[in-house]
Amino acid sequence: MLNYKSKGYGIFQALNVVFMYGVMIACLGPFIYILAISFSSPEAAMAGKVFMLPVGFTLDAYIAMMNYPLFIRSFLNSVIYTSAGTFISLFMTVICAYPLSKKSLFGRKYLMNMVIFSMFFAGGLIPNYIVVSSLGFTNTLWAIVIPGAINQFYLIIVISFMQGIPKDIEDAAAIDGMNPIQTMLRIVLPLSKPVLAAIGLFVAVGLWNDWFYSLIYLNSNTKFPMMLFLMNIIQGANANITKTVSSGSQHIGIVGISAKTTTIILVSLPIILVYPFLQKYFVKGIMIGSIKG
Amino acid sequence: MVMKKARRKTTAILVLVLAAMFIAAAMAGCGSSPAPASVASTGAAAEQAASAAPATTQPPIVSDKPIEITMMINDNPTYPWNPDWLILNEIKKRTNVTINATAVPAMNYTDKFNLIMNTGNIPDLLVPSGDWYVYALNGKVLPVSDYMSQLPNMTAEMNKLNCAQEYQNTQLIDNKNYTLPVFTESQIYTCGLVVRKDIMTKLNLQDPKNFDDLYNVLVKMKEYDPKSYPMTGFYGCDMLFWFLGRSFNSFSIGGWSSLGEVTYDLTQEKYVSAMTSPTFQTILIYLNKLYKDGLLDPELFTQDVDQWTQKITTGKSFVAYDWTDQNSDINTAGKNTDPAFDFENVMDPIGPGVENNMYVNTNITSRFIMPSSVAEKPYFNELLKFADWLFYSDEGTTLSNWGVEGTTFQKDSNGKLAWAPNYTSSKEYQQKYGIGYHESLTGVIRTDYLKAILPAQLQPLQQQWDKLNWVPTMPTPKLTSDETDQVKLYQAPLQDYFNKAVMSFIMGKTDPTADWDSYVKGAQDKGIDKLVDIYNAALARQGKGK
Repeated sequence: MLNYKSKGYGIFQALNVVFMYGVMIACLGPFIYILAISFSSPEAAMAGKVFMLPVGFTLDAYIAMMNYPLFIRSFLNSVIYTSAGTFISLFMTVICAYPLSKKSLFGRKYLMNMVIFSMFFAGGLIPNYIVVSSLGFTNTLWAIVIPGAINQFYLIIVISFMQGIPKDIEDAAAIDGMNPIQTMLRIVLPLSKPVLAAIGLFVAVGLWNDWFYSLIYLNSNTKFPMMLFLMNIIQGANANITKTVSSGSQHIGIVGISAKTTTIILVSLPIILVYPFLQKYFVKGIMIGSIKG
Repeated sequence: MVMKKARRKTTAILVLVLAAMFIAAAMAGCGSSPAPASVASTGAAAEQAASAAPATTQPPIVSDKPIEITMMINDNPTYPWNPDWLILNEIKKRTNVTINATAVPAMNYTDKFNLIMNTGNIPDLLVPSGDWYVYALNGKVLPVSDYMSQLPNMTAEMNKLNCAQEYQNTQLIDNKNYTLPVFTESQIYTCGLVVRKDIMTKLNLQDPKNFDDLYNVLVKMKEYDPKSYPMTGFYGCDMLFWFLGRSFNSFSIGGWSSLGEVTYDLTQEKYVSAMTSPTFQTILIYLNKLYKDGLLDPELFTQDVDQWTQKITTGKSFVAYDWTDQNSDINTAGKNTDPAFDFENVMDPIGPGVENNMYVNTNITSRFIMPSSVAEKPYFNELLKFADWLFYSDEGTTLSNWGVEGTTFQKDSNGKLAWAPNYTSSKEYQQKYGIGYHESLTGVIRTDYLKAILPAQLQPLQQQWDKLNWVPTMPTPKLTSDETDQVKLYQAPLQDYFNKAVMSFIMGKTDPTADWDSYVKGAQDKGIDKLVDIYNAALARQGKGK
């Protein structure tokens, strides 16, 4: 008979806890450091006096950043791109997944092969750009939201989940006189809420973090999302250094460390606030397309 | 079938949410990006524009019809592009041209530039980046040299600055010039050795006149504070070599040189290997001596600007090479540590065995290019006239450097330009008005502007600076595409070898005197001589080499 409270097990427990605490501190440490700098006075930050607690507590950096040109604008842009993109993506994924989940669909095998093939082989950056710009999407919201609307991997997850819904329910609905669209909207969709929540979350986080597509498709800086804005703040200035080496211009414009850390905190804040509530969906969601017992 | 109340309610909510999302999405989608129309107006609108202008202004300089041109530039995060800037409104008023600019984050500029050049739809004026000459040789860029007759102001400015030769040096291998250069009229003191003046005074030290002096200064500082590393830096060896090159009379070597490990010998008038030259050995011996005696910060090679700033402001280091524009911030922060903190620029020490330091006079510091497709556009002539006016005419450069008379600057009794009473700093003027925005709207960076924004404590340095002997820039070899490929083949391994060897010499793992020959042999094995030969052959082809 196993004795769960053996000494070896206790030691293992202890070591495990210590190790996990170590990992937690390693993850949290840099973040707390940045948080402390952002609340410190610029002189203390520059002098490197800040460790884990703010020195010379001040909100000046935050106030300055909120008043920074285009900051609020880029935040709103991110919110709009994320919400519109998530909605469009979920909508497109569902209407694609439902028919593909029916084994009786004519040509299903070929359609599924196309989906899987396109997972591995893509056109590349320049053909993509040419397609999107010839549709007239450059410098608009649609360039960010539409090309990546259906992610094949998520599509397959939703298909698997929908296949797991018992066929009898849909048969009963058919007997009651529902057509396929009504079945989808009233029976399948409510039952798929868990997988849609999970997929929606992945898509939303992906859109929130996106900077590459915004960089190549957007032209006016009033349309940049927050991530691009953040990148510009943190890295943009340093790239100019070799240019100004030989020029008479003094305008290197190295941004102060306070501005950088404040921007980091402000950009991470929305995700941090939302994450604890949605965490369980993340954890459940990725396994949701797998076989049920 | 009667819908249950609850279901009706959920459906209603769903519909409302959907509608809200769609409306929000549509509104965001209807961006305010004006269509890149060519000549935007019909006859009626043109008459409206003409009649709207007050009767006392002279005829429009560039165009009598409203035109819109597109530009692509580096976006500087300190003063992001703002379409409402005073300078843009003023440009529109005087020339009837609206500029529609794409401001790309500077870090990703090359990626976007390559993408735009490859996919067509190139804006009318743009700042080139990366290997842009490849596009030029493939016919995607407008050869400016074919249109010089339409750019009289540019020719005049070039002759005024005596840099026609330098401009000719920027021709590509097909003997055509593809750029609209950005000129800097003269050199202003912007960077050099910076020291803690208060510590120097405390220890009774004079500004170092040569590198032996510098060594003694650093030794005294180390005695004063044994825990410190008196000299530090950032951006690694490349930046050090750039600065030291000025004193040791060598064009820069390493990452900040356009030719990497090769340099140009002014007396012999040909390219020589920099990484195996005696001058470079002298530099390495000196740096190794500093490192051995604990005078050089070992973290110099890897730290970034923020860490460097912290070291300076907390008094862990006292001497560095740097630009001038950080000094005021550093001094404010440093006063927290030490009320007497005073971090100031001084003249560079003179190198060993030379009479004067070597400072390179570059007049062309940046450039614009135009795509060849712009020649087909109906407003092409107006575009050339506009570029010529804004970048090179006296009125245009005054506007882009100084702004609008009465608002941002004023003239004193001698006709000399001075800032308006509300002037606070050049940074604020750039952010607020868009003037002095040298990344995009300037064709000539004027001396009177640079001197006017020079802080008072740098004026004495500037006076010494004006008296220096300046040498012209290194000629750029014009390579065929085969030669470019070959160069790339040699450069990468040489660069790696160079970086490793340099670190090892400075840190003392290998001796710069004893192990020098094996290092030279290693470089020769990797093809440094062949690389030099390629460059010299290209030079001879242009009729310049010996």
